Amino acid sequence: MKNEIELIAHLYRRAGFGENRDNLDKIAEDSYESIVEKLLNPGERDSLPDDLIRRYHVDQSEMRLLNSATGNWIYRMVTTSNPLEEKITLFWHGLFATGFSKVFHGKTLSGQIDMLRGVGLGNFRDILLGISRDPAMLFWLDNNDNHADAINENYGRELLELFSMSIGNYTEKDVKECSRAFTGWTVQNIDYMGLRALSASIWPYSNIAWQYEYKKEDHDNTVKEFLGEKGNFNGEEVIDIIVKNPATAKFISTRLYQFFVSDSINNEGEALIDSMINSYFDSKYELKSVLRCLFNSDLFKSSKVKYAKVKSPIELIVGVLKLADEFKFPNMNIIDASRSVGYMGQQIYNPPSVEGWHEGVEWLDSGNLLERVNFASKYLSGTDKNCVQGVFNKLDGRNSDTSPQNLLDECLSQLGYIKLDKATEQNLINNGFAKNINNHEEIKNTISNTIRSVVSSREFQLA
Amino acid sequence: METDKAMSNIKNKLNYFNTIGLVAMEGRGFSNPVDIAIDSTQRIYVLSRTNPDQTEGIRIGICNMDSEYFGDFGEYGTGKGQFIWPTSIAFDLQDRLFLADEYNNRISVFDKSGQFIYCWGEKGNSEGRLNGPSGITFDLEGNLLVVDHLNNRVQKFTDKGEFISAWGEKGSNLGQFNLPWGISVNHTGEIIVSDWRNNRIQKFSADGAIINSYPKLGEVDIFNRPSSAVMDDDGYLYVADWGNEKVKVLNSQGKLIQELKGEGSLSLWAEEFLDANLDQKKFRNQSDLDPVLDPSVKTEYEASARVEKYFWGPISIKTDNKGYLYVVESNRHRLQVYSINKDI
Repeated sequence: MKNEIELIAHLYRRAGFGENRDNLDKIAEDSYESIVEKLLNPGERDSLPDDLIRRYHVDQSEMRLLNSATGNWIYRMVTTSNPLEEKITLFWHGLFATGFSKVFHGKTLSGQIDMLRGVGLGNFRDILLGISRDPAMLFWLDNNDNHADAINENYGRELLELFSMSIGNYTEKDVKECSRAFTGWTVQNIDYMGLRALSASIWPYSNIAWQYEYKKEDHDNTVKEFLGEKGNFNGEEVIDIIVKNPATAKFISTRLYQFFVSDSINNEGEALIDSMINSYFDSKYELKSVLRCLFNSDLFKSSKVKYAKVKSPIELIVGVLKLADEFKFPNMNIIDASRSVGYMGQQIYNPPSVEGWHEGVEWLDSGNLLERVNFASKYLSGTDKNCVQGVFNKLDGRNSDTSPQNLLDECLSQLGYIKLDKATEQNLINNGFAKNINNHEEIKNTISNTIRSVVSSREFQLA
Repeated sequence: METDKAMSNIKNKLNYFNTIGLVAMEGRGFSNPVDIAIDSTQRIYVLSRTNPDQTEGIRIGICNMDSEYFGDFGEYGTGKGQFIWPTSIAFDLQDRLFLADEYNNRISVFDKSGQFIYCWGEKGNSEGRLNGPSGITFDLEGNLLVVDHLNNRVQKFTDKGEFISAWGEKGSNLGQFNLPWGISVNHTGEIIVSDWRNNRIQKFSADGAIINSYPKLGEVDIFNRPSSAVMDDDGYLYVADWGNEKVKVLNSQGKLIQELKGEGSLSLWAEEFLDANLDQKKFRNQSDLDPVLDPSVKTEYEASARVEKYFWGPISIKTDNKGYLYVVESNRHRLQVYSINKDI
């Protein structure tokens, strides 16, 4: 039973942002495979309602600013009933990295995220089509400057290199032909919107959300030759050709593997990626099938990949806030959360470049690590915190067995059934507990101190 | 819609007049305005709630219908005279400005020039305590009515904060509330409360007895999260239908007679900005600012984000004694002003 719930906790750390003990206990009433199916086929979206958020956070109603958009997404990530929907959206955000630094409008960027949330677990063709029509992306990669009589290759190149196939699988001529196919795909009122973005102008009445526009008269309506096929292609046909290419299947399967399973790829990883590629083609490019293959694989479920990925800052922050049971109602802590994610090096909605973030151990340096531990301590330790009270309540129901081992076990369970390295666990037991604690205040203080120690452990910082 | 057909056959009760405002974090302009109050000299005090990253934007700006700007006051914080999440302002008969702050759980009082006079309020749910004061207004006897919204009640206080009475509790039956927001008093002293999450407006007698609700209990919703409402001397009800990004007018029988999406135009300050930024003016003039909406746009909120003239975040409605109605738009940082047709 313990192994099973630890496996489900692992699944939720990867497919979501972790879950607290009570939720995991409920989820674990189903079989692992059923749980995977529920993650892949979420029902109606349920999260902290937008009307409540907008009432208290007028800035999140306007969504002009970076932190407003960030906070709004964090609210959803923390409170959603469909964690994989948000996690896959985060994956796409890292892949289709589009930044506030150029777009300068939170609402337009959050529109891209809304689009990705809608199609993110669907067909890869729809995902590529959606991002190709997304106004923030079109401006970010200059497709508004891609004209029938003078192409701009930026979007066409990145579509092939960073979004679908990766370098080495197409020629320079393919880049040009791809770009020609996307001429005329632009943003409505682009001269005005572009000027305002580039000059950081919010006047007179704040930003206007952008819309996609297809300018037929600016589309190169002639024959193109792309990846060995010939025709009068528009962007849709180019995407049709891209999604059926084996390089695309390999690329997307590999990126999903690196995001959900492991940063590095060994032989077992190669075998799993091959299976994912098969699922991709068998299902005609359905992401759900690829992810089903991934989550149900022996490798994903094995101890080899557990606690083997560094949580990104947003994963850490959202995970902590979920454990803290935050955001049953809008409150000021969202401001702290949206700022903290930037302090830790992952300002969502503003990736450092079109390549997104460099993940893995690069998330950790001495400064970031301190921020991460302090953030977790702030929300999880302290005798007034839900997490501490949760452990205390469990202990109270067991006649206050406050032996170090039991107390530590309860804390680890409360923090989402974490399993510590044996040496770390023994060290905590030997050095982290006062002897003979017997009153409520001492017990709560000990729980709080234990949680503070656990959140600074290696395992808590990893997923 | 049936109402569309009906409305096309009558003259309009509200007619667009002009727009006041401009987004600005400091000085002339507004930053996420949430309410206005009009003093005895017809100066308009505009309460800007602003955002957490630009707290210098929090203030009360003073202007008039002709877009003259007379300065501002107020600052962010928890100290006396400061505010964090201001929600509403109202003048008493002595032209003192009362301000509700739902974060600090208190009412602060200023003179017309912005000098802090005093404040009162403590967090709690017992009589006289506050948990999230939102709308405020004065009744005909000079008592302050406070929508104590997280306690789902209305409380009546003296101007010094002495408790007089309270009514309401959480629920959806008549007289109950679900996170109420705005409040106003009509010329007979009846009290109009925007029962925000119950999607209705409720009317009470001066001592808190329920009189009516719009729509009536059990009828189909006509509002989506209404945040503010006022009733004129003829019984017309004007509602900021916040969740629908509209303003709606009901006649004295409670029938919907007009529905407005907004007609915002360039304010004097906006024109001056564009005259000083000719590149933006040129491209703006070349743009279609009333575009066909993308098929992905499914909500009024998203439509208003894309069409600048539409109401976006119509959060508060106030009338003056000259026959004008002011719609405060928190997301567009401006006031849209409408004239009230007295011939209807």
